[in-house]
Amino acid sequence: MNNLFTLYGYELKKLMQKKLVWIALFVCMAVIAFSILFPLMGSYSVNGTYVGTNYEEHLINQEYRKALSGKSIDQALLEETIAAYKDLPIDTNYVLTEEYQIYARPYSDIFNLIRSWTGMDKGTAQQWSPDEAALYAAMRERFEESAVKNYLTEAEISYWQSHADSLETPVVYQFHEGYGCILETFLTVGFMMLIYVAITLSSSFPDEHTHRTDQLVLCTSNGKKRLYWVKLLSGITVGCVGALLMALLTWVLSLRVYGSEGFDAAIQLFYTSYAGNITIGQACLVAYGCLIVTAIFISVFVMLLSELFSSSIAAMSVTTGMILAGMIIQIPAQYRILGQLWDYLPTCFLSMWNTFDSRLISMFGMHFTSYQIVPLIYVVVASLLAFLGSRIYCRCQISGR
Amino acid sequence: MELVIDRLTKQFQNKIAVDRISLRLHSGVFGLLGTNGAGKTTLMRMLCGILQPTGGTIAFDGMDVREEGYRAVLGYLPQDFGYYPEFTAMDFLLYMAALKGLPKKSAKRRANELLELVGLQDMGRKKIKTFSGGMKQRLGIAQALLNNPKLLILDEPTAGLDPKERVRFRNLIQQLGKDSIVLLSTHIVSDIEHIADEVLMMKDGTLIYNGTWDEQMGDLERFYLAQFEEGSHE
Repeated sequence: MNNLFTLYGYELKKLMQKKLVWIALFVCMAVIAFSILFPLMGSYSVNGTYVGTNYEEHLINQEYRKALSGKSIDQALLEETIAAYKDLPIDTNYVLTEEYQIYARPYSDIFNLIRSWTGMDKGTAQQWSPDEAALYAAMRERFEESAVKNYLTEAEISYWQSHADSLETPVVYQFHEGYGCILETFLTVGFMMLIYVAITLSSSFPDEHTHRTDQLVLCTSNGKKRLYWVKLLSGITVGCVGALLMALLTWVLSLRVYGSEGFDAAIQLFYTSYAGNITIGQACLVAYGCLIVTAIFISVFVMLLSELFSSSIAAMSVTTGMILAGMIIQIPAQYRILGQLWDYLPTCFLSMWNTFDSRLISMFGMHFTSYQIVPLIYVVVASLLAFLGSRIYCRCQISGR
Repeated sequence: MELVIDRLTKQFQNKIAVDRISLRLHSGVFGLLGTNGAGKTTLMRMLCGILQPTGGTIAFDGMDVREEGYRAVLGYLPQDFGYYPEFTAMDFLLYMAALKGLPKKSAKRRANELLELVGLQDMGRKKIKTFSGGMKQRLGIAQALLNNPKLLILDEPTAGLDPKERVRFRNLIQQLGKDSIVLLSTHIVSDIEHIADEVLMMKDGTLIYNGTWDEQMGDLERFYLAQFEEGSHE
C-alpha cells in the first residue's frame, strides 16, 4: 500500500503532538459538561424567597415525571391536570403555594405540554375545559401555523399533514429527561465541534510551510498526491474523533445524570411544533449523525482553506468569522431560498430547528427533510473541495525563501 | 545514468533567476559555485521538482522531473533544512522513508545505518528540537540518503558542521559520487576543490564555467573571487 498506513500514523502523530489539540479538546469537553450540569447547580428562589437547591428541585420534578411516564395524554389525564391547576393563584409566587407544590406540581409537565400544543397562556389554560379532541386538533393547528410562519409551499404543507395524520393519539407521555438534555445540548456540541476543528486543523498544511518541511516532502515519491490524501484523512480522523468524543460525553453524562428512559417517546413531547413521526431517541441519533458528517465536511473545508492561504491564522479567522456570522445573522423567513441555504451552512445547521427543519428540499418529484439531504450534500461538496485541495497542494511551489 | 537539463529557465516577474541552462550530467560529484542570488538554489529546486521552470526540461534517464519515478531516485538536502521539532530523529527518518516508499522493515534498518553513518546513533530517540545546528544538518544529510538516491542534490551540505565533520562528509560525498550524480552547492571553495569531479559556476542565472578543474589551471578560489569582484564592479 506504498506505506500509506505508516504515513497515516505519522500524520496523526504530528497532529496529536500539538498541545493546542489537547487544550482545545479539553476546553470544548469542559464547556459541554458544564452546560449539561449547569441546570443542577445553584439554588432556586422566587422573588427572593429560597425554594431549594436546583438539584433538590430536579429530583422532585424527576420523581413526578417518572410517576407520569407511560400515561396517555387523554381526557382523563387532562381533567386531572386541569383540576390540579384550576385553583392556583395567578401571581408569580404561585410556586410557593401548597396548592402548587402538593397538587399541581406532579402534573406540571402535562400542563406545560397543553400550553405548548394549544398556545394558551397560564391563566387561560387553568380555566380551560379539558377536551382531548380539541387538544390534538389544536396541536395540528400549531403545526399549520408554524408552516405558514415558515413560508412552506402547498406541497410541503401536505407532506407534513400526512406526517401529522400518522401520529398516534392520544400521545403517551414518557419520561425523557436524558434524551431531552442530549437534544438541548446539541447546539452547544455543534458549536464546540466547529471551534475545535477550526483550531486543530487550520495548521495541518501551513505547518509544513512554516517548518520548511514542504520542500523535503514534495520531492519524495509519495510526497504529493498520496501524502495529500493521507493528510486529509488524518485531519478528518482528528475532527471526527473529537466530534465523537464530544457526542459520547454528552450522551453518557446526560443519560447518567438525567436518566436513560424515553428513547421511544414521541418527539412532540420535546419539540412541540414539529410534525415529524419520529421518537426522541431517533431524533438524538439523527442529530448526532449529522454532527459527525458535518465534522467531516468542516475538517475538509478548514484544511482546504489552510492550504489555500498557507496560513493557519487566516484559515482559523475565516472559519471563526463564519461560525460567528452563523450565530449572529438570521435571514428572515420570507427570503425562503436564501434563508434555507444559509440555515444549511454547517455553522447554522447543527441546531434542533435547522436539523429538524419543516422546509423541505424537493428533487426528482420527492421531498427530503434537511437531515436527509444536507449530510449528503456535505459529503458531495467535501469530496469536491478535497479534489480542489489536491490540485492546490500538488501545484505548490517552493520559492522566495 | 544521465541527468539532462535542456534550456532550463526560471523567471520571477522581471528577474531571470535561471537563464537557459543546458547540461548533461553523468555519475560524479558536481560542485556548484556562485555568489548569493546567482540562481543556485533556484536551479536546485527546479531539479527537485518543487519549483516549476518557466521554460526548458529536466529528465533523469528519460524520466521527466514531474514523474513519480524521478522523485523515487532523488535525494535532496535543502539549504534551509526543515524538520518536525516534536519528532525524534528515528521517527523523522522513518517518516521520510515512508514518503520515499521504503518498505517498513528495510526503512528501520536503513535509518539505523544512516544514524550511525552521520554519528547520531545515540540520538535516535531524542527529539530533534533538542539538537544543535550541526546535528540537525547531519540528520538532514541522513534523510537525503535514505533511498540510496541516484540523483543527490545537496544545497550547502557542510554549512554548520565543525571542521572534522566537514572533512568526514566531504569524503562521504566523494564516495557517493561513484554510483550517483551528486550536485552540491557551497560557498566553501576548498570543499569543491577536494571532492568535485566537475565545477559548475553560476552568475546572474547563467553558467559561466562548466568543466573539470585542476591545479594547473590555477587557484579555483582566486578564479571564483575574481568573478565575484567583477560582479561587484558592475
